[in-house]
Amino acid sequence: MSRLRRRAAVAAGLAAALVVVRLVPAWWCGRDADAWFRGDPELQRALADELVELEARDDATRAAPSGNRFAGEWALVTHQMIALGLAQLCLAHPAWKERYAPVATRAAAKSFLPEMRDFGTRAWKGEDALASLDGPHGHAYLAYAALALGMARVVDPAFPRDLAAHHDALIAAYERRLLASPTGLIETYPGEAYPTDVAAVAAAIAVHGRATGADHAAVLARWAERVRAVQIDPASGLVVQRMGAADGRAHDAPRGSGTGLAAYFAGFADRDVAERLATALLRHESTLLGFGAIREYADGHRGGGDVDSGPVVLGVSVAATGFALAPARAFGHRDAFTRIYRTTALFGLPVASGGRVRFASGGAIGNALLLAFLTSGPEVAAR
Amino acid sequence: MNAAIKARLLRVWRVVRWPVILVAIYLVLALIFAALTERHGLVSPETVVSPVLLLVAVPLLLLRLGLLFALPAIVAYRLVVRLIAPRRDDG
Repeated sequence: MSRLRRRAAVAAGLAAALVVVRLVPAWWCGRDADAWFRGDPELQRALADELVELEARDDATRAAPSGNRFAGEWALVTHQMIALGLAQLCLAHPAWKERYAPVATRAAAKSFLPEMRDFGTRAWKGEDALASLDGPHGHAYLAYAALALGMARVVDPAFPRDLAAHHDALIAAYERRLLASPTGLIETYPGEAYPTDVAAVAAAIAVHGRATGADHAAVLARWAERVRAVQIDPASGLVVQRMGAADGRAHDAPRGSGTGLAAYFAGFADRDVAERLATALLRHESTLLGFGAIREYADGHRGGGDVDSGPVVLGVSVAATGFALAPARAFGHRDAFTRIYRTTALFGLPVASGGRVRFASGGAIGNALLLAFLTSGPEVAAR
Repeated sequence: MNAAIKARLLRVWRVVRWPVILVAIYLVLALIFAALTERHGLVSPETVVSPVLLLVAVPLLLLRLGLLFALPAIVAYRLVVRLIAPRRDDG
């Protein structure tokens, strides 16, 4: 009898341990998930203020003659995402415009500085994107800055006129190049097009229309049609990560990181394309114990991590997982958002102090991306 | 404090000492990590991640996983077994 009771106790103990492992970590890491999903103003403001402070520190460094300036591709994305996140908050809470719109404009303007696009100028053997607007080369990477400028222009009534003129010229060049492309792709680097970057081009064009009233419907409709026909892998629904701009041939696999960011950008331009990408992306979610993460490669494709995906561990990637937060929130996938947020919090290590919050592991770029993705929704185009 | 209370506290301390020590180490590491990442996070493309940051981040993340997943499971297991299993003096 005693031995039987001991065995029953061990079995009950193991069952209790399993229940606890399923419930406790998920609860702990997901405590803020619902607040982020609902758009809790206190939480949004706490992260926004952290990034406003980051921009202020960056301004001070830039003003110092010997300051070690934050520049390059990741700096461009950092300032872009801060501008997008703050602009999204201004759309969600119009009363916050006075506080955040000027910072959004400053961040967007920084993403437009020549030193931020040096990597692209080098790749094009010294050809600067803004000095070659009449040329045929795509320079699609600068759409990240163009999108940030557009969103700042939408929310900031004091947006500088000279910057607006540069913005208009860049958007006109993108529109011309996109309409001329049979694949709906334009190059980021010589011979290489990234559907994600082209989604940023489409987003920049769409937001320019919102800011200025210009009609870009024809080019956006053509881009959306080409995405469906050429850039989405029919089997997985993911976009091909890298393609030939001229022939539309795949140079890489359909991947989660590219699709996640493309879904976010597509939301600015075409709701249907964005929803389609979001649905495919979330079909690639792997779940364990209430945590979710996105597989980087579509079924039948294999590969490692790179600068786009970050580390790929057990088939899931850091970037695809983080990027998925935006479409999951924007298109109302609450359960997926909650699972993915838990993973973000588990490894991101949120820290709250002095009325601000940040994800300690993320650094500047991680927190800028999370501001944009955790507040995604108000920027999405109407149907 | 009489001997009986002392012995009782000692027994309780023996049960909880490892969780308490691990949580304390975790909290200290978390504070250090928060201070170290005010400017640069673990994901920092423009700079090589400093060895000091890694030295704090790796044990911190391992402890975080252990404290979130393993510790509650072990506590739940031991609690349930203690409640259900026959005591030695039950025969």
